[in-house]
Amino acid sequence: MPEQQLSILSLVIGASVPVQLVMLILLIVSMVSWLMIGQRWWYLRQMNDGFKAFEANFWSGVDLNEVFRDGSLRLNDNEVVDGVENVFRSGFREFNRLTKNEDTDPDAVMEGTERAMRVALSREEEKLNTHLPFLASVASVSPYIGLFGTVWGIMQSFRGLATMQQATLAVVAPGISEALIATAMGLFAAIPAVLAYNRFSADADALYSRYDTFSDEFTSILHHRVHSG
Amino acid sequence: MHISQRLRNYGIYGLAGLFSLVLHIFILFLLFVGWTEKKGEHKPQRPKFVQATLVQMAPKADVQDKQAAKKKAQVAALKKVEAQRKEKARKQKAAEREKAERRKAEQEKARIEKIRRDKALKKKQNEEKARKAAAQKKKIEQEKKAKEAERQEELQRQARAQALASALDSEDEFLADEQSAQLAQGYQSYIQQRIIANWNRPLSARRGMETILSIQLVPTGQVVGVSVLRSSGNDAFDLSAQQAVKKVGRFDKLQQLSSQSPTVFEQNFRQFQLVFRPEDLRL
Repeated sequence: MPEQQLSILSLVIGASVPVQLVMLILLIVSMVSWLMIGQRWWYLRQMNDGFKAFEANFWSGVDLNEVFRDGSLRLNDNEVVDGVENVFRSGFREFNRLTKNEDTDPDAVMEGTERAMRVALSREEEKLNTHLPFLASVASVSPYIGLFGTVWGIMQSFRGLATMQQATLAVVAPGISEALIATAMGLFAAIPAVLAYNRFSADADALYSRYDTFSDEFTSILHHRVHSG
Repeated sequence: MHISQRLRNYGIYGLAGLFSLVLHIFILFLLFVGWTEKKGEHKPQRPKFVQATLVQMAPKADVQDKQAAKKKAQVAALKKVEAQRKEKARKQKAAEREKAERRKAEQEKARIEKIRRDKALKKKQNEEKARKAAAQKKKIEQEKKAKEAERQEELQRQARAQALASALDSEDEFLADEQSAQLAQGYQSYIQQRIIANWNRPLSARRGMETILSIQLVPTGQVVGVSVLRSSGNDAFDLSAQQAVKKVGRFDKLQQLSSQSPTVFEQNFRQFQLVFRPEDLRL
């Protein structure tokens, strides 16, 4: 090495195998967690925009059959029908199916519709929350992984120190320095994951509660229809 | 039916993955590159030769002389400019006076004698006023000049005092440097001896070969790092040089030096270069 001082690269290359393994794991974890962050960010933004657009359309006074048909057309064109529209579609489909028989009990109709919407809602909730558990695990575990690497590295360098006759700082310093890189990497992976998890889970909760409110409102509309018609 | 949707989802994953990859590569790059550059700045390269300070001292006096000369020239230039200004003012005043006289002469011709007499009186008064104003101006200018001269003198005095102080300082430094250099030279020859004693000459060593080693010591005299800065081209020779240093292992006397004067140790022996030649060995 022509370098006089220790560079980080040489520290990483010179680290012991367990420490290197820990660093590799942390690097991969960090990359995957950033992948998830990017995907979640995009998806939640998409859902938010979609919800706003759908709600504006829904409350603009258009016939509900029209809204349903519009969604079906888009499905046939291989376009995305996602989020709150799925809740609406499953509820509306069930409602139409049940009200085809003239003599079905209105309460039974409402019950069936509500059940269908609840199923669709929980499916949407699941979609909103995908990858969030992974981010949470990264946030909580990667500092520990990094810490493990550090402890291991320091253990090794102190073991090396024990056999030396002249104990100087220069003997242990590189080992400790290289071990500390593992902790730094752990924190580097964890901090964005914590932030992203908090942000995205709050966003997902907010969206879900808006879906829920919408489904209640929609139920009340259908309720009027059943009991007046 | 869902093929395009799924493709789109994969596309998003790919995009996010690419983003993550680029981010990490960027950060790693910054970390490695930025780190080594910073390290380079920290390396103190100190002049170890006594002559260097000697050479430095001579031009310092020159510079002082030059500065004094420059100041003198500046003062002279200032004076010249002032004189020119004064002359110009005088000329202007004369021209004005002439103009006024001419005007009055014309008027005299046109007017009656009485009025002419009055005019003459007035003219006299005007002239007197002008003279007075000129005198006042001259006085102010003289005062200014005196003040300027005083200020220049003060400045020069200060500069001289500063130069003297800095010369004294540099002399102290010079003396201290010389002392530490002498001290260091003794230890340098000690290091040479130890290394020569531990060197096994490889068969392939020839005259004219030269290896530069970089050696790092800790204050106990323990060698903590040996690396070849410039190879001689002969691996066996490089290796033998490195091994000689490693064999010494510890320069015992340096412990004494570092406890005596740590700065000399830090400057000269914390990290130093060693030129290694087959016929002689010198630091």
